[in-house]
Amino acid sequence: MSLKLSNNSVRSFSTIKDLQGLLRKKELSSKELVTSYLDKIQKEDDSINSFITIDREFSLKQAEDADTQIAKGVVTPMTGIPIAHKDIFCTKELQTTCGSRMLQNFMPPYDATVIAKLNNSGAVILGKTNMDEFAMGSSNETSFFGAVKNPWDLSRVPGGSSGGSAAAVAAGFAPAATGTDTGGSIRQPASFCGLTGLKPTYGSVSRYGMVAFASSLDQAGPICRNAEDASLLFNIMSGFDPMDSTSINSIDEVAKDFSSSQDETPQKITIGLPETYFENSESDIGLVEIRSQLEKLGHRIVDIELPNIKAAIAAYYVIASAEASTNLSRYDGVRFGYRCEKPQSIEDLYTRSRSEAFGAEVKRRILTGTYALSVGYFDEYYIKAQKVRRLISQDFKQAFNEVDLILTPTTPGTAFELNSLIEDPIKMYQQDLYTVPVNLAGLPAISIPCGFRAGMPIGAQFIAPAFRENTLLAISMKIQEITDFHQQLPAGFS
Amino acid sequence: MEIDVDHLAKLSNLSLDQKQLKKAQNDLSKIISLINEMMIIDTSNVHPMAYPHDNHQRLREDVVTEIIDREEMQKSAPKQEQGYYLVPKVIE
Amino acid sequence: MSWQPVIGLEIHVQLATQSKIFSGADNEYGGRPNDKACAIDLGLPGVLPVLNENAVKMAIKFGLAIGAEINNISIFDRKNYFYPDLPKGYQISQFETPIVGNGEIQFDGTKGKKTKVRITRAHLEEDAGKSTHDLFESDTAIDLNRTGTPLLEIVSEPDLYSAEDAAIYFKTIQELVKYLKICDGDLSKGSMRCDANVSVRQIEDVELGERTEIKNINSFRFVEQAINSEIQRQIDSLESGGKIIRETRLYDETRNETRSMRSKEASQDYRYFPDPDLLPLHVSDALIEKIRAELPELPADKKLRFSEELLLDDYDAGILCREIDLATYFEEVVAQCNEAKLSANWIISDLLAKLHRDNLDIKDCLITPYMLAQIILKIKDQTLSSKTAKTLFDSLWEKPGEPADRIQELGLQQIDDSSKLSTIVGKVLLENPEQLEQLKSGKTKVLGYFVGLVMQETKGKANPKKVNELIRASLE
Repeated sequence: MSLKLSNNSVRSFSTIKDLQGLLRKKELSSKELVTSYLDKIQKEDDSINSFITIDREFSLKQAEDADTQIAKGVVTPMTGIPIAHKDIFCTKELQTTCGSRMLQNFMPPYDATVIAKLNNSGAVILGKTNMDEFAMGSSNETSFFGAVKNPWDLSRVPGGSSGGSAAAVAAGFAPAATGTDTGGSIRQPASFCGLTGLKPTYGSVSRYGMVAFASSLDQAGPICRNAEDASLLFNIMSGFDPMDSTSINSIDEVAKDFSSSQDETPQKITIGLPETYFENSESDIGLVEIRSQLEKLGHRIVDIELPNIKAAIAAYYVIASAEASTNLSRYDGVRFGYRCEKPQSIEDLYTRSRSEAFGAEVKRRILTGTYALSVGYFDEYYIKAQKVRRLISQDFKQAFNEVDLILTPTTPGTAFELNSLIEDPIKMYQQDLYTVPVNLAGLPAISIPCGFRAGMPIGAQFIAPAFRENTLLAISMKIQEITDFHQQLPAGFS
Repeated sequence: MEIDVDHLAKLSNLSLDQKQLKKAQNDLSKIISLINEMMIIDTSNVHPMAYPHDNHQRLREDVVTEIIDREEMQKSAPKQEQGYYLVPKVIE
Repeated sequence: MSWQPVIGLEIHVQLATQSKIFSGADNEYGGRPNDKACAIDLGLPGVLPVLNENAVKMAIKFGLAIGAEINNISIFDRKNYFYPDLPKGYQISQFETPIVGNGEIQFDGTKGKKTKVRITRAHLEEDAGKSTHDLFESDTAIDLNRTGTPLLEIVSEPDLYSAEDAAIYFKTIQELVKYLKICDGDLSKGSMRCDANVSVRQIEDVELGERTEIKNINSFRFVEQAINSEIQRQIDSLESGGKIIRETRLYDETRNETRSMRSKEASQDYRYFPDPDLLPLHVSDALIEKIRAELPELPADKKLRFSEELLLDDYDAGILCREIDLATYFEEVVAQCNEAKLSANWIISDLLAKLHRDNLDIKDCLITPYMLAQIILKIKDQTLSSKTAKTLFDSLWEKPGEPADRIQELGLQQIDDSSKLSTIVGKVLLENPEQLEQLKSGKTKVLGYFVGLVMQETKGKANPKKVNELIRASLE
């Protein structure tokens, strides 16, 4: 993609790779680059509301430091490249709110491992992006800091819970952003906003310093303009972390450095389509397109069965809510976070602080989770859900005996209108139909743009066996070589 | 079957007014119905899966690695005095 | 009506690791409030636990020492409840699958009766912080230094039938954990605490009565008092037609009674489930065997060795092995003077008596093993008689010091010099002609009288054996 230096807006839709070139050739400095992004955000984010926190001075200082490194000849992939972080990652120098009143003004005394890794790679933090409160949501409408709009159509949602990250990248406010995915929160917003979003294998990216929603499902990952950038960021973000007991400790298992060689893909792969799973989906046109691209590339498409997949949402909601209900118990107004005014007793301190500071969706999930774990219901809900989880995981294992990848739409439809589903939790939960099974099984998956419907982006999802991110990224890159859906830009912002 | 939302709220230290309780009651009933419908699949002889992979707990060497800066840790404390976190007096 | 009390104890032992169970913070006792609470201990957003290998090894050591099954796979669970000194709003513990399974422990109970208590299980968990209610006027002060200290919770079957036995059992566990070097057993620092489950039943009943739980007893004296007062309360209640409710009670030592806790214990639903932040703990048979091979000598084995190899009598061996500190003291003395029987006698008759009188523990004893060994060696080489040895001992007790120097200072050396003694012998023989005649005529009993006189003259420092010889010799 060629860049016209005088055209600021074209530059702001640059990929990381493009920016690496610009910085290396010294066509502009990191400070200039970061300034131009910050200016764009200042000018245009009011209509999107993708950022919660911007600290211009802080970002420019990081950029200056990066420029010093570049002048010394330090050549690392991310030196001087700006990135936006979902406000779920603890950052020592920036407030970390998790989209909630509960953590408004919270200054963590440490950086999340993911943040530290990206800081060490020389990346410059543009700011903290908006998100559904405590990552609970599929539309970024539950944030205490207001809903986020989709740059493709401001009357529509960007998806959630990493809605701010996706909207920021889609609007050209950042070349890439970090997100987290518990039931689809990277993939679904990436799909709604025409971007590439990767949810890595559970355990491959450290969860230390990432505010916990559902501990056995959460994973951090990149939201980018293309798969090549996603690969670059994934390599930096992933890796064993001794601070996380669930972090994978095997070098063999972590994906190889993909950005250096694309020849790793087996020439012809078999892709499974679980047709019965999405017979009612509106996203079929996108899938038809991808199918034809894949066949053009010489890959084989076969029908597969995932017999227990329809129970995935139920199992997911039980498990996620159960884990979340206890992960959120630490928010009690005692050591940090929101405390109510003039508490009359310890009970009052707890109940009022929590009730005043948590939004409706968070409370709903806490109650659901408490229910699923409570005496008399534990076996019927929590244990049952974990059994369903095993069946779903086995379904995937079985399928991967026959195929290399699985293809599905990322979402049942394109971005829906703001305020259309927020009052109906059930309809909202069903947005995650295609994404949650992946989290239950701990597998990696990617969403890439594969078409448009009435001007709104459609995403296709590839799912791979554990630790096969390189296959996901390879196939995505190949498709992006011969299609240009990922290069389209939203009218209002380009 | 009525879900005792009031009891759940007490267990999780949330306070809801009558209107909120009723809505929560409604929402939870719908969610639980959805869950019930979906989970009728046969899971006899299936072992629950609590972890996404089969790894074992790694053990950490018993050495002191944390250097604690109390002031830094307490910078977001709502009420703190002489290093203690303060809460309304608890009666046992 | 003849009532039988039935008691089970849940003992919490703080493991003496360097760092905490789930974080790398310092596990040492003390310090300014919240100085030892790192982000993980504080339960800040996004933190995660990683398990301390030494805590696991210590738990296994304990399990092996009580002959228990060590579970190759155990799981950590979240126990959910709210309390200001429980930062995460849940405690990481082990519920259904603990690391240590069934074991047992034997000891000499009330009146020396051989008692056996079955231990149901022992599991690992994290300790909470401390709430202090009287530091500030209208607030409770929370100090989270103790949060994350590793605990081993040891649960016994209801196999104890008196408060006294419960206290002895508690002490036995204290000694065992000290022997194993997994805990310093210091109750004043809170290194060990216990909860007692108490019920009563008619002596002929098979079923157990309803039980109550007395929480957080932290001294041996209170164990007995608290349990006794609760037993009495239950008996009084039942005899006047009342019923016992299952509840948690606290012991009030000033009033010597237990009272019901205000908490909503009855409706407490801990919602245990496997902690997703910690993976299943796998402990291999190889590791277990390695730890077994490294176990220190246990009290029972030590006692056997003292009896069989060092030839102490059973009773003495028993006393010395009751406390690791005492056994160690004894072994150090023997190592230096090579006189097991004498060392045992001195320790049991003299040392323990003084310690008991002054209300001290062996570890507070100012007479070091070296000093005692020196005393014994000086008896052996006849520098001291048993009388002067006692004088030296008493003096060192009041003011510790180098025994050789003290002997000089006090002039305690035994007088051995034949010429000196002969002079004195001659003197006393001359001064007591009547007795001398009796002696000459064969009344050997009078010998003792003369020896006594010489001892008096020399202020007890004469070598009695020598004196004896000299007196006999002078008769020839």
